[in-house]
Amino acid sequence: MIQLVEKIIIKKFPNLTNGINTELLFLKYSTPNSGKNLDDKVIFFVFKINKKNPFLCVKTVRTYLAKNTVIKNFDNLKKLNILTKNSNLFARAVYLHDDGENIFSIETVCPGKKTKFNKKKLKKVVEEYINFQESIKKYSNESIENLEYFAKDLIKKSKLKELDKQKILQFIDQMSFKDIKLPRIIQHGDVTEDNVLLSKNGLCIIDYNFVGLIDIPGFDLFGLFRRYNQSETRKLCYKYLPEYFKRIGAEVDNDNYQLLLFFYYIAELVLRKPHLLKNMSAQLVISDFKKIYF
Amino acid sequence: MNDIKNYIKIVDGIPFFSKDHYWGKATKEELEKALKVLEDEGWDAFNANYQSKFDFTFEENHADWRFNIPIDKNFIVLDVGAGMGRNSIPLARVVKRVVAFDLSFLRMKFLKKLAEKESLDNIDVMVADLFDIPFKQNSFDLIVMNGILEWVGASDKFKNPREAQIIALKICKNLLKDGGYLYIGIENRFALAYLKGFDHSGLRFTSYMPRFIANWYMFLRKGRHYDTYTYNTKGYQKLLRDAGFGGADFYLTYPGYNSPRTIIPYDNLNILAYAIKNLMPENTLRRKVFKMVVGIKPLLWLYRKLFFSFSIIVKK
Repeated sequence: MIQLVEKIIIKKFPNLTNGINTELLFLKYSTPNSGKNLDDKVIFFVFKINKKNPFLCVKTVRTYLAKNTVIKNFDNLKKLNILTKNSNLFARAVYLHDDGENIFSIETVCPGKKTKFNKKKLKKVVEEYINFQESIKKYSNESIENLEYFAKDLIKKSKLKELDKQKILQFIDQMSFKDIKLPRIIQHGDVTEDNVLLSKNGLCIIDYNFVGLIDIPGFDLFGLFRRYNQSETRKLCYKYLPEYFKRIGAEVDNDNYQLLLFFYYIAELVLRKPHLLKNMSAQLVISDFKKIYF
Repeated sequence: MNDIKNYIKIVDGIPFFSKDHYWGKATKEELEKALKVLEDEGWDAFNANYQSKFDFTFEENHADWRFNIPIDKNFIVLDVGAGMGRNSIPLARVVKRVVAFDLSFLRMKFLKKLAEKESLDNIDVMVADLFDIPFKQNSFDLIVMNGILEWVGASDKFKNPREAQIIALKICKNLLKDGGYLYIGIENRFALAYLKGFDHSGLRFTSYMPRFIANWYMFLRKGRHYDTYTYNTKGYQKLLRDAGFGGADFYLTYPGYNSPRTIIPYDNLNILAYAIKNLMPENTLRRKVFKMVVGIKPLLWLYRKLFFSFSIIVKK
């Protein structure tokens, strides 16, 4: 396939490649987890000879039947690009090739490298992420004032058994709850250590499969904290979310944090891990939440 | 390939063109038992009991080397020593037909069942020996030798393992159509890993030894010849030339050719440096030090020489 990719890059982007005499080199990369399913992505970094860094990133799939993965990722990136015109926080979507047999997308390359987070790095990531969310809040013209309703709606739509749904709805009813006002702001959906590249110039967030999956603020930060250190998620949420909510113009009473955490927790399960949730009982869902986040 | 009739026998729908010769990570009895579980109780029971027992996989990334070849949907592929199908399955999804053969009937029986499970009806499986195969010349667009070339010297048909390897490559060359591709997934003779672990011989350091010393050592320790030759890039180039092939493209595969998550063009040190610095996590002190060390070009050059395995692509 790379022969086709090379041809397309040279033909479509002569200004990037110095024309037909350019020879391109490809570094294939996939994560340990991205070989398990047919719709997992395969990534190629494109290099010019004698260059130390790639200038383009190509994403494809192992079978054309899984083409939606590439299309979704590309469309999601385009959405982010529209919202963040002058930002380097994400790659830029360049081109989508679909000839009915081969499909691949071309993006710019995010600078930086994957790094193990420590408290300092986490703080830096959170700060830049909050800047990003603050910068796009102007595009938000809707807000959520009844999170309880949203949480219950998620439960109703989940793959849980009916009896388990009822038990979780009862659990939500027991939570204290005061007025809330959250602007709807697009979430990346998968801000993790693996998807954040750090460099001297800042950070770049990669992997756009889940962009827009949810637009309830705090979902990304909750996911980031949970994966950074599950046992400290609650503490980190209480540390960073007030500042975040303030900057995006949200109004969240302290009494609502418990419900918020439960909402993020359940939203992750329903939207990102429905296969896990399918085999969980209400008791397990609630006890896991209490064990980790109470 | 349905026109091939000169088989010895057919068992469970699998034609035999040679004697059955079992090989594998587990014993023949274990695989027989596992196949019985599969037949009687289905895939869930099989997976529950045997997920990591054999060298099969349900992962799709084992044939990712194929992105470096202009494969199209009309390709006819020969998977030599196909084993339990780690390459046949992903290839069958994107080509017209895969002909998979192996010396082991049980492994072919497993592959047949796996293909059925995946609803892939374009895989032909057969028991055959590369040195005595029934196909016509110029039949295939792509031939896969994944983890095979180092073992062909074990055949008792040739005096010298290298001779067996050259004959095997010549057979493949004849079977390829003009412009067809040969893929070889294989270890580096001088892999750093062989200083720590075991060579194919089952002994330490044999790949590093001059062949005649390895042969004596093997004879003393195991009572047989050293016949699992691997080479460095120059050695493979010479071997391929001696078999009548032209230039080959070499790639470094990480963590190994059986699971090529990262594939790096061999000739470009910049790309290797980029992959190490940017794509490997820095989660241990050892890795941090390693990343710093490979920033020094001569050491990076040396590291490439000691890399574990290669993907080699040759065009006829």
